[in-house]
Amino acid sequence: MVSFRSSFRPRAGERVLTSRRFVVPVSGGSVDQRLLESLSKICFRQAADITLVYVVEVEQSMPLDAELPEEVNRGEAVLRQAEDLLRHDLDPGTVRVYAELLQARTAGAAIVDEATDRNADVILLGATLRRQFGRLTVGDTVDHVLKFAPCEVIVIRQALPDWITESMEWS
Amino acid sequence: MYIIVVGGGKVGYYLTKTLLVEGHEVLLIERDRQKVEVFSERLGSVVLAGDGAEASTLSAAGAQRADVVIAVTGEDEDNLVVCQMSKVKFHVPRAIARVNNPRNELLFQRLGIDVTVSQTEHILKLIEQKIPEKSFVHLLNLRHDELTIVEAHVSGDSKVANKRVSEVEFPVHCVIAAIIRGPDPVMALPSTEILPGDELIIVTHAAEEEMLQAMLSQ
Amino acid sequence: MNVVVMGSGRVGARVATILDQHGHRVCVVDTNPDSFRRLGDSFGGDTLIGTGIDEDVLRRAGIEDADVFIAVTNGDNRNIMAAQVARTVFEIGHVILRIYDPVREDTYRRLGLHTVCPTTTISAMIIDQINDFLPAYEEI
Repeated sequence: MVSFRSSFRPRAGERVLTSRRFVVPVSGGSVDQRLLESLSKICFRQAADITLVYVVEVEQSMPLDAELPEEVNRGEAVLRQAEDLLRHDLDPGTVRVYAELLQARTAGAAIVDEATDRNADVILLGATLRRQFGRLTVGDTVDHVLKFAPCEVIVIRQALPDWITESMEWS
Repeated sequence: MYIIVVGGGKVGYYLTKTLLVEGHEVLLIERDRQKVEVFSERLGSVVLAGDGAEASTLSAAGAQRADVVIAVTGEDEDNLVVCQMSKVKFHVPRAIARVNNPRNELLFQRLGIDVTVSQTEHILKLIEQKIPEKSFVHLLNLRHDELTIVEAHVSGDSKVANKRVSEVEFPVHCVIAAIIRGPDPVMALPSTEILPGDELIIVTHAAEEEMLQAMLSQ
Repeated sequence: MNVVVMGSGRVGARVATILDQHGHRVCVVDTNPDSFRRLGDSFGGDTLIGTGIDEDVLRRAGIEDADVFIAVTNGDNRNIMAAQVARTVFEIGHVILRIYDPVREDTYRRLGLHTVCPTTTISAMIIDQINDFLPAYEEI
């Protein structure tokens, strides 16, 4: 006997939900923790492929494949920490976590390329506000990703630090 | 090779694009930030905003490891200073300057610039010196996208060598604009004989560029 | 003495006026004819519209008979190029030029040009004056 509904029931081993693919740049900055917490919430009880990305930006004065052991070590440490946190919070049965250490001229372009290559559904990234040439900016990376990412982008910007709020005339 | 191009005008942009396609590492330095943004969108992160005559810009561009610096701004004085700074301060082995006023060519050479060029095609040839010699170089697209200008080198065994212009069966939408013979341009009249070693400057319909290339490289 | 001054800005016009008052033969070159107003009515020298990086313009300004060439336009690169034209092409013994950018100034001074860098000179003067009234900050 074949019931109507059962034809939609997955066979053993098949997954109902296609997993969403996340690309998540981490930098080791203060916004990382909020980023990972939010990611855990978004992915809770969901199937997801998460690629953590750390980009080592190589100055033009060096070739792109220059050996940068210090930066690479730092990147690896940041990635390891983020991975541990996610593995602790999320169910390894439904969520797969990958880590990518990239060396590139600019982080923004590297993140967009990674998202394109992995056919990502979402880029989730953190923004830190700072002052550059007298104006507030979230930086070139966030700018670039917002403009050129092929997929959805979620940006988490931390609350304004006091030094900025205090410098604003309306505050 | 690592090549720094200074000046994001038409020449600089086209040069950068071509060199990237050739597989070189290239950085384009341009003063105008708006242009830098547009170029970065098109070419990727190979564009730096700054004044190429300024030592700090050249340093940020990694001039100390550059094999070639090419200055192609519209101002001769800027091209001169970019090249001199590159050579004197950053010891760049090869500095090439575009000369807008052809009369400055001699002066620039006397002032230590390795090579001066007044035309795009020559710049390209100089860079491509190390690459096996090309017999066919795409020079530029005209304002109407469908027309392009190419330069073709006539070798001794070319099918068109030692023939009159009128005797060569070019694709329908191709016109020989000029023949460069040695240092001199020669008018391409129907009766003009094409000699081995000539450079043909040809205006062609883009659709026929490949056909033309195939025909000339036979 | 015959002097060609390129650039009729505040500095160029002032230098030209003073040299003129001292009885020298001065020709001032500038691309902008309005700038010659800075020379004042009593200026007895010559003025020429054009750019000093052009050999023809320099020739018309009398560079072939000049003892001194002074390049003080607002463009560092223009001054650098004109100075080298004067030195290399016309073999003028005394070529003086202004370069605002200290690094460029240092580079061309090492190449043997007589350069003046207002940026370093004025900064040093200001620091000196601070040191004068604040002896405690000698280390600035």
